[in-house]
Amino acid sequence: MIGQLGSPLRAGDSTAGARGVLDDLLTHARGADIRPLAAWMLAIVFYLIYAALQPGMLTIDSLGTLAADGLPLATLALGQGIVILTAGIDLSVGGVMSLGTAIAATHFHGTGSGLAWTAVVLLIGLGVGAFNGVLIGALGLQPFIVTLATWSIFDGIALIVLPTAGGHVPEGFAGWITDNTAGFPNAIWALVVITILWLWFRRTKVARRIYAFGSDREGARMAGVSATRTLLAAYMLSGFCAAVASLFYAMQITGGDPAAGDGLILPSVAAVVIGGTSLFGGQGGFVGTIAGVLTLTTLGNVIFAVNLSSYWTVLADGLLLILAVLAGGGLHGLQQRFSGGRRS
Amino acid sequence: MSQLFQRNRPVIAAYLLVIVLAIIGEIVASGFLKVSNIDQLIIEAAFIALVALGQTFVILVGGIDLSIPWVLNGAAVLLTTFAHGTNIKMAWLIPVLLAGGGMVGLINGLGVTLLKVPPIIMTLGMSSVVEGALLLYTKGGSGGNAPSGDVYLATHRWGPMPVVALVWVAVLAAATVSLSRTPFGRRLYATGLSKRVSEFAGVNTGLVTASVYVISGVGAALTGIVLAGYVGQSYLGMGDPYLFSSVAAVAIGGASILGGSGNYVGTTAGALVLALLAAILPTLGLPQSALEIVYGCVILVAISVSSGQIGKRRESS
Repeated sequence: MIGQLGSPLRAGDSTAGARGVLDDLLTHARGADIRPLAAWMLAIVFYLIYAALQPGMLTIDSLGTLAADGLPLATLALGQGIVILTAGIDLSVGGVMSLGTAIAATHFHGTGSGLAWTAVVLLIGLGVGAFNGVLIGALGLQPFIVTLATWSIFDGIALIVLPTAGGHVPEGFAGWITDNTAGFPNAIWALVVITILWLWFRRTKVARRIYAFGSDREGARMAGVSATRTLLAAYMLSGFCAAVASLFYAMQITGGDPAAGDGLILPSVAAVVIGGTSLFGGQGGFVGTIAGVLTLTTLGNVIFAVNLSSYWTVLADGLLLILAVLAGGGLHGLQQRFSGGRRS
Repeated sequence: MSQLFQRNRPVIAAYLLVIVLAIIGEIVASGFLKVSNIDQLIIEAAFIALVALGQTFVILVGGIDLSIPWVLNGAAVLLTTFAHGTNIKMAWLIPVLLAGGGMVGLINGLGVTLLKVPPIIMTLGMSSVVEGALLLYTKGGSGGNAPSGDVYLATHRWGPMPVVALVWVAVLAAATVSLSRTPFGRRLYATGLSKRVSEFAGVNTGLVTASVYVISGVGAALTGIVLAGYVGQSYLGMGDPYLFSSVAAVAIGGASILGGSGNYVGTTAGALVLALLAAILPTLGLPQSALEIVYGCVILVAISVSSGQIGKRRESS
């Protein structure tokens, strides 16, 4: 039965049954990348370990807490993921995050100023992204060096706005991330909305150009995809996501930190890579990235639950990033080899 | 002669910038070019130049090393905590720490060459691993005071010259000779220009690439040891400024971020430019944090100029 679904088997093959199953799995897997699926399996395993360590974790409330913990990173990683799809990297999200929380902690008090300054933070994000996008897209400069420079610049500006960690955001603003709406935690609503936005975005022309550009730069150019405009869009989206993430992060820590972003650059890249997006562009997406965020967030919680120092998280994040790059490459290679072998 | 001038135009421009900045400094604050002030400038520049040695080599093969700040920090903290303020253990601690820095570099190098992890990801990940290990070891506290022997090494003078500056001159000579006069240097430039062509020509590009990361790790550890002596103590985060400054020094020195062109003579000028800027900013009433903004702007200007020149060269050829 299973064998029939797969390719016709050679007669006389003694391991026909087993091969049939494998063949069949690979037939289905060949079109779709298996890496996001692997990421979700990893995330669920981590979550089950966490649930086993902390009984009572499988309730809506505790899922809400987990969502609130992961929301800033998920938002940041959405943008980072879009840039990585173009085979680039955005280190400047660190600077945008730092400046965003610094502004939230110093300028959000007083009627109306919260809204006005929220707009300012979002515009800064878009502006940084546009600046990166022009330098990378129009001038053809290297993404990592351009965004390293803008990271430095905006960390410096954050230090001028808020010289040391501190300040505080208005209570109503900070409370939003832990409040409920219609019986569900706001953080879960936010994640759902972000995911729906991604699924919509995935079907737009811009997204198709980003994927095309990332998987085959030269081919995309021949097909009329403008590198300048595609990269501009990708980096602007990343800057905007980083700005939104900085606001969520300010809610979470109820204050500001002029170095807030520095520690989140690596997790943002790690979430994307664990989620199965290729660093070489063109393959992956936010659905896998959420699994990466869930893995990293529950890992932090597991470390806390077993009474280990939170410093382990820093070490583990670094290791996970490197391992995920290797595992992603390995899985992709295996899939290619098996599906390639089948075709011949 | 004119060809030599043509080829080294970015480096010459960097040295002209040093002179211009020195004159600007003297104009905005008289006494800027006092001997004591110049002395201070050279020491500040020496630290940037020492840490940028490894970054230069790594960038020449088309890579980048983001793990420098925490390797530097690790060497500084481990030296002060193990030495406990006495000099007895210095004799074995310093070689062990240099080897430790080299080990981190070797892991970076193997990850990049054997496992094909992109340099930025490999060194970002290792940076986090070293940071995490260090945080766990110190429990987030500071590392304590530097042993007097280390302080002596870092602040001692040999005649009128600070020892740190002499170390810098020695490093400059060694780096310049090894880049321009040895097979290793030629292989390094070849690897940076084109890995594939170099491999066809019989260059072991994996070995070359791994060795530059080792150089970078050892250089960062050395800088950490000397910096701890100079500051008199170690603390977490003391390496942070050196990520941006090491990349900025290399970029000002005219090296191509894509690899294959540039040299340490240029990076030396880059370090001087950054030290001058750091000294001029306070005289203009700007805060220290403005330095990070300056680093970023300087990197952007330098890479825009150098990529423009590469473009022109490609067009003309």
